[in-house]
Amino acid sequence: MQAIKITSLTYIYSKKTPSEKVALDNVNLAINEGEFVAVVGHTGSGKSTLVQHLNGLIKTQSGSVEIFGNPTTDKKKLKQLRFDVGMVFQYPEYQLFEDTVAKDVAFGPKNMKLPKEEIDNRVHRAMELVGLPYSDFAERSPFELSGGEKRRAAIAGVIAMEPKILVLDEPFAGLDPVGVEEITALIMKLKREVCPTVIMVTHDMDSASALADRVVALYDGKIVADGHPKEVFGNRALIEEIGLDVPFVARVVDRLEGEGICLDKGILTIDELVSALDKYKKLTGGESHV
Amino acid sequence: MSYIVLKGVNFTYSLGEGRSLKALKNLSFSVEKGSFVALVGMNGSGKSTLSKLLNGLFLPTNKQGQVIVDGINTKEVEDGTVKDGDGNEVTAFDVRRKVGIVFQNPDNQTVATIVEDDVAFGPENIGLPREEIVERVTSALESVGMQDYKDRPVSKLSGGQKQRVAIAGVLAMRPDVIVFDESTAMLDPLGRREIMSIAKELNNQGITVIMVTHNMDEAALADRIIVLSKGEVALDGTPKEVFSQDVTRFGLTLPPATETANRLGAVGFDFDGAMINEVELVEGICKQLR
Repeated sequence: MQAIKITSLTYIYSKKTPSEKVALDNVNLAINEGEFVAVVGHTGSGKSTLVQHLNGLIKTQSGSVEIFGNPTTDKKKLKQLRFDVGMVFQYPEYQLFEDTVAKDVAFGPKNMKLPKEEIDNRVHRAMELVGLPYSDFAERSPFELSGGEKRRAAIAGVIAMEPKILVLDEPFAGLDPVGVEEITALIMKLKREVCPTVIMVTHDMDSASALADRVVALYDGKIVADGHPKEVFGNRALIEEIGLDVPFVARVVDRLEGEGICLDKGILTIDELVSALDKYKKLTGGESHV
Repeated sequence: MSYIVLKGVNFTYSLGEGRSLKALKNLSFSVEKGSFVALVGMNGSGKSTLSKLLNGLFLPTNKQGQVIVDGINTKEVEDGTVKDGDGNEVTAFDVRRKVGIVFQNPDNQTVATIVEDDVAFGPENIGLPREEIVERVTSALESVGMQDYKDRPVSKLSGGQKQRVAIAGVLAMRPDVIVFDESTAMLDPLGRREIMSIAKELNNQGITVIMVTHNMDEAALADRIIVLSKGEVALDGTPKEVFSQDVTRFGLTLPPATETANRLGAVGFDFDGAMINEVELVEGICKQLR
């Protein structure tokens, strides 16, 4: 089933002024339910503008965006759209504002005008899912949580809306290594258990290549690459041209090639690299004593 | 020569209602003039508290604890009992001028709307003559490669550019030490690299750099890494020494090159110590495959 369909989407900031800037230029993109898509591109390439179209935060100027077949311009369905597409912004913990975690998580469902019992159920469930058990965290102030816990509380607020599509903008920014591991595990769990379609905007090519099964690269408001991480990052010339980082493992593969050790350009994870080198060593090991 | 010396420093936050939080416990170490030190540790390990002690923004909360900067005890300047060679009183201002801090968020470190006015703010405040201010602002902006932006509004700059302006503001005070308190955390990869290369360059010119970071690749660029855990120094040594230990005990990850070398070790590769970057890693692999 098609979750998102974007057709000929163009968006221009400050139209008809001297600072006019084309942020999106004729973008076409279809995303199926169940996909994990990483949207990459350097700062100013149009990533944020693109994802803000998904729940109607930005009004389409030309072209169209459909979510599960409904155009985002349909005013009667705007509210439903906001519930269906859960947006976790950069540093979402800055948006916590209630005096207890439970109230903060309940804010969205309350706005949905759900019955009280349903709100309570959702808050319980969302808090358990993100690893902040209700009994321990419900009455605590969000401001006395650790950085990683705050971010999980903010994500719980989005999950309590029971979105069908989860959009995450730089979910790992500013976290310590433990926090990065926790949020990574959480995103994979949410994808598995509650929200099968995930779109992640990121500058971190290592996490894009490790987590996503599809990478969409933007440059100057246009989609310049779209495919499996192996395919997209395998095209080193393009990655360099559009100013993206080559993932760590791919950089090692390139350096090895420079030294005459040629491995598959599609290798992206440490596991794949280790097994390729193991094989290489066994194949050449016997005759290397020249 | 030791430029900063910490002796038995405790720092305890008072949380009110008789509750308190011990952020630093009996911390003792010194930092050599001209060195490049990375300060790492998970959230809550005491890194940011420590960086504020280094320029006298915070003072040790125990009686015996001392922070000595260029021979000046930060506690005594608060009492007004310190005099320099000419009998002039040495104040907390003098300590802050010696140790500048660049903070995390590029959006809340600037005071003026225009780049050069912002950089001039510090020198103006200490009452320098006009020509001296102009000279300092010009050279500070050149050091960070922002001279062409001097007339621009700060608000129109990218995150990396804003951090460069913040560094220029610190440089205009002619400090001996610059503390980067997670100054790269909110930047994109390009911005991160810019800040790291400026930090390296300033260090080459003789400025002591203390880099607080969660990014192990950045830490690996330092001459020395101090790992903080629960308010205490857990490890202290060169990147090679530190990353040959199990740093995961302290909530850290290994740089990807070190991790890869360790995994290759499990399939029969043998490296000479910890591989701390991709260049070393590739060299180490090549040696064993030729």
